[in-house]
Amino acid sequence: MSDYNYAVFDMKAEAPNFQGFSANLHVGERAPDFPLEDLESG
Amino acid sequence: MDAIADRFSDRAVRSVFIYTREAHPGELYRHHTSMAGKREIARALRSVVGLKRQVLLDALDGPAHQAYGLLPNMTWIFSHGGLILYKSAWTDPDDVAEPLTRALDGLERRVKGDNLPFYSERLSWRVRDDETFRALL
Repeated sequence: MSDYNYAVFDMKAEAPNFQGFSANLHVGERAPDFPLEDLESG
Repeated sequence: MDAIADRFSDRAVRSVFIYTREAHPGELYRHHTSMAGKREIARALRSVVGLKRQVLLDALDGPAHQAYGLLPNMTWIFSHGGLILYKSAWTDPDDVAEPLTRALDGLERRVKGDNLPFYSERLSWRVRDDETFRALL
């Protein structure tokens, strides 16, 4: 988890995410569902 | 995007802002170490930016964010049934409006049985705005 919430932005470390985005999930597929907290009521 | 949400509100479109992680943590808005801290920064973001849409928070370790690609400013459009209709690596209101209109029109025509969906991809462009970026750090 500490890597997810990094303290300092590192473009080199994050670059694969930009490059891999087009290969991750596609239109026409089912959107994965996750519980999200409402800022107003959470 | 609040303007887009307003524009399409009469077509049963729900637009939300999902707060994930601080992409560029700094002195004012640090990286998240607790949900309480994350909520506090999300409230500050909502106030500073003037967000009108509903703000939802991903869990602290970002499971939704990770599943959807980990990019800092994505936009996704889903049908009411949960199908992905549009995905974008960047949020650009002008880029969202046209596919959203086509998706809504297409879904309405599909109910009538006179059209079929097809897959497409495109490359879009945005204007670089370093001034706004630095102001929000």
